[in-house]
Amino acid sequence: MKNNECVLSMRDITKKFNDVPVLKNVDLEIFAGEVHGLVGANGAGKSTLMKILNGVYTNYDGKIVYKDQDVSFKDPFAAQRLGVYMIHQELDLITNLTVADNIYMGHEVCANKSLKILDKKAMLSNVQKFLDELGFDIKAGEIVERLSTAQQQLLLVAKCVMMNADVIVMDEPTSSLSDTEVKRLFSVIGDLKRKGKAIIYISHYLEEIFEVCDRVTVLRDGSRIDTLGVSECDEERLVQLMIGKAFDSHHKYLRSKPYGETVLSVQDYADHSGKVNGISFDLHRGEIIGMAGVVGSGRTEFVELLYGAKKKREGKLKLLDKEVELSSPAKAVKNGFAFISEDRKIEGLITRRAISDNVSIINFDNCLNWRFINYRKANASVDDMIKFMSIRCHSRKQEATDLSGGNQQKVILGRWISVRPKILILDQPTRGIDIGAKAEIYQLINDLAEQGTSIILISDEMNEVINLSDTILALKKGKVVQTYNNKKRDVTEEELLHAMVV
Amino acid sequence: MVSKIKEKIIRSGDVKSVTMFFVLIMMFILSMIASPYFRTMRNIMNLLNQNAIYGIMALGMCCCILTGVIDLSAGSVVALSAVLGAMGLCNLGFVPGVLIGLGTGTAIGVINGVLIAKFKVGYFITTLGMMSICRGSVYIITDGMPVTGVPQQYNIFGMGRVFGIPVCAIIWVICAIILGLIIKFTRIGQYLYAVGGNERATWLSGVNVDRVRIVAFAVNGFFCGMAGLILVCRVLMAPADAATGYEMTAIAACVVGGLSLLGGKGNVFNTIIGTLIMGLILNILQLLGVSSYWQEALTGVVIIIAAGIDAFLNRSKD
Repeated sequence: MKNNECVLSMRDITKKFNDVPVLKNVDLEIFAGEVHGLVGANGAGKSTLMKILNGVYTNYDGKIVYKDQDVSFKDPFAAQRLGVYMIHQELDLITNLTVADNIYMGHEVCANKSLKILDKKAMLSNVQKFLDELGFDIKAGEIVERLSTAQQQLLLVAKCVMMNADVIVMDEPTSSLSDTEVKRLFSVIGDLKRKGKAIIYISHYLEEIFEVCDRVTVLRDGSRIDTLGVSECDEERLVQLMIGKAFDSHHKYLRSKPYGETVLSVQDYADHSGKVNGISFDLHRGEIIGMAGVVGSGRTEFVELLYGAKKKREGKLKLLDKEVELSSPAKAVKNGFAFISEDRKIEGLITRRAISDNVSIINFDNCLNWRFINYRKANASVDDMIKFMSIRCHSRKQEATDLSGGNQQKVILGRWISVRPKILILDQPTRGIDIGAKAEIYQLINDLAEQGTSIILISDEMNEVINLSDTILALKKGKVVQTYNNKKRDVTEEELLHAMVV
Repeated sequence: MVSKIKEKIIRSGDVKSVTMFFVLIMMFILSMIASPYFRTMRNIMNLLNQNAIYGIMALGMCCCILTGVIDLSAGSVVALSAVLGAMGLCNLGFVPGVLIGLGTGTAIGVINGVLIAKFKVGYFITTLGMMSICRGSVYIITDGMPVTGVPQQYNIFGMGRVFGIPVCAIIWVICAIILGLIIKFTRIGQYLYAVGGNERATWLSGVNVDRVRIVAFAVNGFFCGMAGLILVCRVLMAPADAATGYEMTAIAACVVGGLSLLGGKGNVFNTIIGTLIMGLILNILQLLGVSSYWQEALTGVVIIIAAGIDAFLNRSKD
């Protein structure tokens, strides 16, 4: 396949779930040797489109032309045989097997064809040779769970290349990589491009799109809005196309009134593993404290400690001048705490249950007639919450896991807001959420603080911390290294980053 | 109209329980056609009578399965409750006997729950171990001989009828209604679903997950105790090998009825449907004069077909 020749074209793709269209006549053309960005808000239809391409959904209208032939993949394996691979965001590796086993999974080399005895040696040496050629620093015999996330990501790239993929779909490949690892991945993508591979690159991080992609297709509400060369546009323009209106990521949420008295006073918190080493601060009524720190700075461990989800080694806690011991989340909740974890799927959503069950789980306490749940009251408050948070769903009976990421997060926020917590801990509240929903969540956080909720906010995105927080604590190795007064929202990313890493 | 109802069912996410309800109706109709005896009131009442013990066990098992675990010790707990309950009924009278039977089951349930929730022993191994402990205890206590001499008048709870309806079936239905209401209308009932859906998220939401687990096993134990007492009243003795393998029937009834073994999905209604489906299969095979060897094998076939229908309907969604 020569470069700049159309290798794959999806034409007029329409897909419905229960008569609700999620893709409407979408066209997508991919050239050999290009990196094609695919962007859109959560729920815009990116992953549905890619699942159709990858043979996960087989029931759709439209046509897929691959290398000048009409194809329809009946399952992902059929797509792979013809050279279409997808690297999912949650890296689907078999973590207890070796690198070589994973690469050859389903295509094993047999020493004895009729008895199907595996030739482990040949597989190992082939894979090692190949990894070395690509310049990846991975051992073929290593068990996958001992690899870093970045290495696992590269391993999947290697698998695609080794299996002669011509089209590789990468879904949010950088979501758990560090900066240097991202650079490494991008240089690999560059190599693949030169080899004539086509790459479909899905990402929420627009700066990555501009760094690595040649062209970009924007989806919104299941329709293709535009396909344009990255040199023809800028971030503002893309965002505008994605959400259909302008969005200001630099909006500073200034407080209308100063915050009140001290509600929480943390003294010398430390844990057993040494990840938290003596953190102290005061939190006032209506104040937002932002916690900035690199992964491993102890910020998540600290809030888990504070919330009683982990056992602490030492430290004292005063709530309104009264010393309390929070030994479990249940005690924390009784004392007016709320905690939204960074891992929505594992620590937030209750799977296989409806939105209403997810929202009311804590609020049941407020909807009791003697000891029995008053569903009229509970459901009314769920409906209010759906409206208030503008959660997009069919009804409160819809399963919460079916919602898009932003709406899932709103469900979890709704769960806590319905019990009006005094102290709200937010760990990466906008992780994996599209820009439109992000703005809504920022506004909500700000409104809550204005109404007197005290908030501890952790985020990887520094502008988020800077634009929302009244006080910023820079964390490093489990200690507060710098405290910033940010009432005017004037701390710069540079000085914050400096404190976090130097 | 039909499509509207269909949509409503799909959106409520309760496809399976509706499917299994129709499977039950279909089987009922087919049985009516296949055997004239089946249609008789007498047979229907027999069906209820025969399945009340499984039905009551399935109610308890339902609480465990909703939280995403199963209790393998249920059958042995029934046997131990039966033996101790029978001794109580023989020597101490009705009320002490019943209390001993129910208390035994509940206490073992609590022990299971504490081991699993507080000591973090896996549910599979805990209940498997408890299965042996209880069965072993039965043999130790009885020396392998059945406990006999249960007064005749208690037979009413095992075989008696009120207006032609079996007393044990009435007990079953009353238990089901009470449990159904508790699950639906109390916090702890709703927490069963939450724990089954996502234990960690539930814990982080401030729910005392350990307590929910212990309560689930205690309720299961309570119903095992009740099943044991009904068994004793039925045969007026407690055989040492009573209720062997009943836990599997109870689990199968729950799953066939529409509960998810992963937890978080299903309700009491499902377990009743499931129990009746299982009972109906056996009943019609008996009426048709199928040999008992074939009955067992065919029951298995029908369980798989029943579950398969659901899997098939779910698969064709995309």
